[in-house]
Amino acid sequence: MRNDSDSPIDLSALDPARDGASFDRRAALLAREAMDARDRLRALSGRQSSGISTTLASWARPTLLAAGIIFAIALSAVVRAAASPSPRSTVSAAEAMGLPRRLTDILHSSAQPSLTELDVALAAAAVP
Amino acid sequence: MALDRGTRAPDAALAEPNDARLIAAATAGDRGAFEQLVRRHYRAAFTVALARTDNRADAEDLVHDAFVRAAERLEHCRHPEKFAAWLCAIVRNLAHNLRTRGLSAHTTIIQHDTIASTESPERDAQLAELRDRLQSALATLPVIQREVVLLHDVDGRTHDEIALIVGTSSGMCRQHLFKARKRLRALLIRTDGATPLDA
Repeated sequence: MRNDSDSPIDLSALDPARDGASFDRRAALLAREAMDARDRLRALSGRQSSGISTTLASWARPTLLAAGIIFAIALSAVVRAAASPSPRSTVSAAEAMGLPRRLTDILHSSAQPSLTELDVALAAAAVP
Repeated sequence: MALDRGTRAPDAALAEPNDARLIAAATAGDRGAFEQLVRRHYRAAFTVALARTDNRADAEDLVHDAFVRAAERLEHCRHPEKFAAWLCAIVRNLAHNLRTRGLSAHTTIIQHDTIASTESPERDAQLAELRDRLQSALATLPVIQREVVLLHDVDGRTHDEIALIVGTSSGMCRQHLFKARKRLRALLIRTDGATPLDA
């Protein structure tokens, strides 16, 4: 008997494959069960993924219908807006800025205003 | 006693497909390929399980569950050439779960008594006694030393292979092996000097 710690110890009693025939049966059974479990898992995940696609497909039609209705409403609104242009504003920029009508008439007129007309127009502008 | 893994002898390497090929075939549904993986790596998985459970029946159940889980997740094995390390990691996780749950693993499909031994009853009894003594001695070692000595002396793995499985260096493996054997010899010779310890 060697006492050298570098030499192997006979641990063959613990070897799970010590009994060859028993080990063969065990390995075959284990492999079969493991692959069965794999097949079951794959079938289950396949069913789940097909379930998701069916659910999405069932949502697809109502969603498409709703989108179509919204598009039709939006399109008709756009067409109507394009067909009837908004009425032009009668308020000029000068009026919007608060200039009196008389003064703007003078500005738009090609005729030379008199001093009296200017004085009256500016006086009207000075009134708040 | 070591199983052929296609790494021992060149002719064996030529004859047997490597793990990557077997995993690819098993992933495609080849049951025979998976059975080859079971035969090739059962010992490694078992020794790692035994190192962590100190109980042969629990170890067998853990190995069973580990192979089932491995089969279910073959696509997740990103490095097929390191299948043994991946499988043993699964075994460790299951052993950890077993410890934290504090339950026995005797709930899995394999019934231990359905796979009968082909040895004689007397031989079975002797073997059981020897196993008890070996397991008692092993139980006194740190887990890493148990794994290393079992992977080396039961499964016949090389230091490089063991280093990959236990996640350490080849040099550390040698140290663990040396210490484990020294301790086991001291324990087993003291109890019965006539026990044939040396291989």
